[in-house]
Amino acid sequence: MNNMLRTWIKDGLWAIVFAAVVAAVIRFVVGLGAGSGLNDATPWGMWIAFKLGFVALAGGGFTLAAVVYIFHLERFRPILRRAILMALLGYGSFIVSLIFDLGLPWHIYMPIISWQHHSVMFEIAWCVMLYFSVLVLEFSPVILEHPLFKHKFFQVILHGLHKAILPLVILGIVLSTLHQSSLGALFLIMPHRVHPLWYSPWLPYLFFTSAIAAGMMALVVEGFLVERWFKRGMHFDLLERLGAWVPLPLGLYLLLRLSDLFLRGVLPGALDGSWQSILFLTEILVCGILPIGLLAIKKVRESREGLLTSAILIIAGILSQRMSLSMFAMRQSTGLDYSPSLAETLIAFGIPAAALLIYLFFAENLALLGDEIPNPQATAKLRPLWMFSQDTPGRIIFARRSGLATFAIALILPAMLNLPISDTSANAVQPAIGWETLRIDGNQTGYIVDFPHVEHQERLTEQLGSKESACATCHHLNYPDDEATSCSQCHTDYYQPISIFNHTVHQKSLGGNVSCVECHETEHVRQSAAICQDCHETMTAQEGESVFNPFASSYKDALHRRCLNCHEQKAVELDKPELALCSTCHTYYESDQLQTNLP
Amino acid sequence: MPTWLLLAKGPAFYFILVVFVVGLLRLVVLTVWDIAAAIRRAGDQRLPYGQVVRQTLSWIFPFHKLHRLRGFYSYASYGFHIAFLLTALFLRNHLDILRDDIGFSWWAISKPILDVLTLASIVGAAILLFTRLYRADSRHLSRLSDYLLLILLLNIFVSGYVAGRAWNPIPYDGLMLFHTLNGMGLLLVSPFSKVAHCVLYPLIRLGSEVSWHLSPRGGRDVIETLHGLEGRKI
Repeated sequence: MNNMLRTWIKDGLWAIVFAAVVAAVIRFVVGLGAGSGLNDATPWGMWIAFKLGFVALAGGGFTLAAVVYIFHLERFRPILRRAILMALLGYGSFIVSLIFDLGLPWHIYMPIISWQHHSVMFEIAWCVMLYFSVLVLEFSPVILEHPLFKHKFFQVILHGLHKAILPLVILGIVLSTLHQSSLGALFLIMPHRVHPLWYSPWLPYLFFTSAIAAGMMALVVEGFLVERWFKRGMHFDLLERLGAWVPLPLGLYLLLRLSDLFLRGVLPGALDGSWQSILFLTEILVCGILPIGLLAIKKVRESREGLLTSAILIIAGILSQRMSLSMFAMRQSTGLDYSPSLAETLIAFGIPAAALLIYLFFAENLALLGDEIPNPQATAKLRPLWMFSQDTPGRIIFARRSGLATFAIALILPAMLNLPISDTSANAVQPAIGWETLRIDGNQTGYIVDFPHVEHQERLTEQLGSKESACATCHHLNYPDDEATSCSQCHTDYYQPISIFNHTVHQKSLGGNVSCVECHETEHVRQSAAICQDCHETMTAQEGESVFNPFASSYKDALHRRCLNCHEQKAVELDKPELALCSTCHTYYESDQLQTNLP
Repeated sequence: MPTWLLLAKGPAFYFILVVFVVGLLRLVVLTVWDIAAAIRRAGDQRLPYGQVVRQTLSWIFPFHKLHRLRGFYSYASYGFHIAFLLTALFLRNHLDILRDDIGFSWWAISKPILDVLTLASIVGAAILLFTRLYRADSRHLSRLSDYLLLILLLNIFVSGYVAGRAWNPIPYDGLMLFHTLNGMGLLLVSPFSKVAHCVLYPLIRLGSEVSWHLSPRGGRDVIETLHGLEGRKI
């Protein structure tokens, strides 16, 4: 991997993080309901799914800690620090995304003071808090070894931590075991919301065993990535050992899952051909039994491709199980369509992107990848911490990242704030003003048509015999109790035809939600609705149409048609060709000139 | 609605507006960063702050520089800058679109005055372009982007001026689309090019003043480097 590619990947991660920060601000400004696709019927979605994924990948932390400290398999020590960092970042991501998921995030401390002993959430909250603290303590020696902390004060802490590591590890194992299984227990309260192929009363055990398997395999994938990125620190022999052992927890997980489904008689459902059954079979066969088979063959396990493929398959299978449980397979039973919003998606991906950047930062600056100390030059000359130092490449990095952030923010902010991106479908009409002379300037250009209203009224009354029919020539439809509804009240769009039917008004005046049947005989769709004329007798069909058309033509078309039809006719009748010319009406008065002519 | 108006009122405009605003904020940070770095780096850090502030303020409207050298060029540059800012910011049509986009705007200058100003900025920009092309010292200091930005500006002025005329031979909507695209292009590149001085001019001047006064003989050194020991007034 060359430096160019590294920079590109980092920039890409930064771009996702920037976008997620914008999304996060919006999430907190507009609230949970408006900022995400979640609703009361589907209160758990993408964030929960990702959270379960984070902790699955963090499973390597307690597994490796147990292997090294409890079983004393010292040869795994070189990858222990990585495993603990993975767990730290995984649980950190869990906590950060929890802040977004809570309706009242400022209540996040409540489990500390308000104890609800019967709640699984209570156990989870405490386990996560304690285990995260334990992880911080377990990882802090790596940070304190950095020359920046060479002061005696830090060295005393470091010494204390080294002494306390064993109790910490035991505490960590206990807590994460409790936590992993209680995450599964969380779903025990919803047997009817989760698809039967994913629900199981043994979910706590499934979560625990699968976390071990996923955590081990995450270390394998991480090893490959680290090797590509840093050209060191892979320890293939250790990863191969992990590959040799993983069939144990994975096989146990599969055995528990399948035997539970079999004993409860749900297993035949896996063959019903629905997409859920296909996903289930893929999880079990392609991502479970196939990699176990692959890893059982020594030659495959010892090849880089074989090990990596198996690891990716296993991780995919376990992530799929957790995400199906919390998102895909749940949606089916609520009947309400849940699709994550843009802000939600960006936050969900932004958190792991940030975690990756933190990982890279630690790996670049700390003795993380086994026994090697990072580049001595980098540690020997510590960078000054003040901001305006010419020696640091800080300015270059800032210029680069902030340029990237500019574009990321510009792309997302308008889309997510739902800024009044001008409603191009509504070209509001300015109503005509006046009585004797109507000042018509529908599109507000200042080019006014000066319409002699009363003059037309008198002439039409003379021709048609009654004032009513004269008015009705133009005022062909009126609002209830109105005699002369103006053109712009129905023809509300200057350029486009627009429906004059107002569903809310009808629904309210007919009696609210029970009134559907008044108009919809069968189902609640437009096609089944009654026609306007059934109730409104004045709404008759126009020439050439079978029913009344509730679409009012555009203001421009409506006025031109109304005036031109008559003017063209009269031009012939009275032999006055100038009547039909544009300039007869469009005399192009500038607005301020006309104002002096108005009464 | 014609395409150009859709563009000016649509999401693309918001994108460009946010790039413009956030990009300029970024530039403020970078400029302050550089000024601070320059002060830190300088051996002699005593700055005549009063003088720096006075000079910066006087450069915002540099009337006293108007007749010094290259008077014709100075007047053209003056006319160009003032006319550009006034037409861009106080044209009724621009303000109407702006009100539609962001919900507020301000008073406008009457159209006939702006017509004259637009002509002035076209002439000014043309003179700046020709000076760059035909004066050897200007030409040597110019980069490709200097020419391109001037041409972009001329595109905007000329198309905007011609479009509304009765004698306009080109279809109105087509020309306005050209005008709008060029204008959006200008907004998009301004935080990343020298056009940024249309907003950040005082800050950029402050930067130059600070670096100019940093070392006791700084100004003289620059003159000597540019023009030899005898020093020619610039």
